[in-house]
Amino acid sequence: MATARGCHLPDELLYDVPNNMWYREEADGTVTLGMTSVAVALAGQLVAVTPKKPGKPVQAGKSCATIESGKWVGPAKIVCDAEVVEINEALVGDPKTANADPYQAGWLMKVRPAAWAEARATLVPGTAVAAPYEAKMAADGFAGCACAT
Amino acid sequence: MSSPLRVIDVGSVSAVRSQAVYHGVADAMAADGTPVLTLATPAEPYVCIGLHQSLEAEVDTGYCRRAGLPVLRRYVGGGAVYLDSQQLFFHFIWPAARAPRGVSALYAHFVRPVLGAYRALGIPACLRPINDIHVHGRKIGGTGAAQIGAATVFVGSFLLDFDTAAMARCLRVPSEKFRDKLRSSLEDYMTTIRRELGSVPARQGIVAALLAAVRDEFGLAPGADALRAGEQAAVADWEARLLDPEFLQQAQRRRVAAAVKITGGVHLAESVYKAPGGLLRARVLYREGRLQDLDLSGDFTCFPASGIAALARALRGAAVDASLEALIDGHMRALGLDMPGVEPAHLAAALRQALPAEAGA
Repeated sequence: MATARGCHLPDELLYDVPNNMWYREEADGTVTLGMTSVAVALAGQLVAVTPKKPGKPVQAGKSCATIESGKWVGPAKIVCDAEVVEINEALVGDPKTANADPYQAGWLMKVRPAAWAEARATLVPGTAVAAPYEAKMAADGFAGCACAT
Repeated sequence: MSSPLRVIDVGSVSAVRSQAVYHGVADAMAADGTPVLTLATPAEPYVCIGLHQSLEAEVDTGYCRRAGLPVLRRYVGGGAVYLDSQQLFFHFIWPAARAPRGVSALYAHFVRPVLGAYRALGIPACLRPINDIHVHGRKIGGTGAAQIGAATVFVGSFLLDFDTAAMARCLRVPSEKFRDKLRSSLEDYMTTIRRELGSVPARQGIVAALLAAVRDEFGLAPGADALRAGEQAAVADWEARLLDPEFLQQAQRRRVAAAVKITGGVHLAESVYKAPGGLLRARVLYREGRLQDLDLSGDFTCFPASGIAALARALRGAAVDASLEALIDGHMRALGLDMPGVEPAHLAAALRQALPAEAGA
């Protein structure tokens, strides 16, 4: 597993570094996605997560979910046009799950992408993500997951 | 030469305009746009709830309707607040790329000129992380933040004066006793510019202090400006959106807390716990994870009858942690209380039950 400034980044996932999102290809052609450990460290403890509903379309570069923490509200941005297939109801019920376990229990949604190959090409595999994430953290002035509150 | 800061003071405006102005300016902002500070004062009182709050669970909508109080939902987090003409709103609207990324860093950054303005006015305000502004342990203002479009937004208000009774009246609470306690807790833990200074400076004096502090803290050159055509259209769009009953009444999206946050670290809560000997009702003011004040009541039996009030007094200041049950047991023994079907564990559970996670010890 790669680590950048104390933030874990599992090798088997794909990453949208600018938007702090991870993606996992599923055998049935769907894609599971969620917020990286960096995203939740930046946000702090989540108090609400509102994903778009199953069956709804989501647009590349636009919000697929609204998150709230510490009186901050912001979007989780998706990398591709897609249809929402399933949302993590357990995460909606207990948003802190994303802080505790961002890559497993804290997954956000499953989607069926419209043009996955094109979107996939813009993502960084986990085995190569440490360097670009380190560069982004430096540019953002982000101290690291252990220090963020 | 300093970078510019567009200052758009819309003055005294309707309730919905006082919210729509920053939503619209943020939505219209380009990724490489010029930072904007908008200022507004609501001409009429209203209630404003956070993006993820449940309207009916948080607000006494029947009372608000009868009192003619508009209720609006904002695209910013946090809780329900009562807003009126005794508040001067400020909204820092920055291109996201020029704002800090982390939430804590964002608040620490944007609060600097606000604290500078308070100090210039003679009020030694400080940030109580994450996002409250305190003076001598009392809250003088809350702040909030959001990402809207390509902009990072930081919002708050200067509290010139505050009607605690009006705030307590418009929230939905479990009982009228709770409402009384809420009002007195707001009195105890909140303050205002009037309370700190004994009078309220002129609006233009507060604005001047804020702009001077922005210049000092951020090195920007504030210049008066007006809404541009694109911003006016975006503000109008947001007015329509904020007035849309569907947006206001959307289904609950956040678990309803059994507590009202008075300020950071201070929560008022009421819980009901079913013990074998009857229902226990605990109304508790938690402060930094401790029982600052509490009332215990219910339909259980207690000998002597006055003992339950004595127990509540004895528990003031107790930490809500693993030691609580033993502490209750000790006090019950010392007071000689006999409460059939009500054990120390039941009382401890009732006192823990409503403690919000963020208020924990």
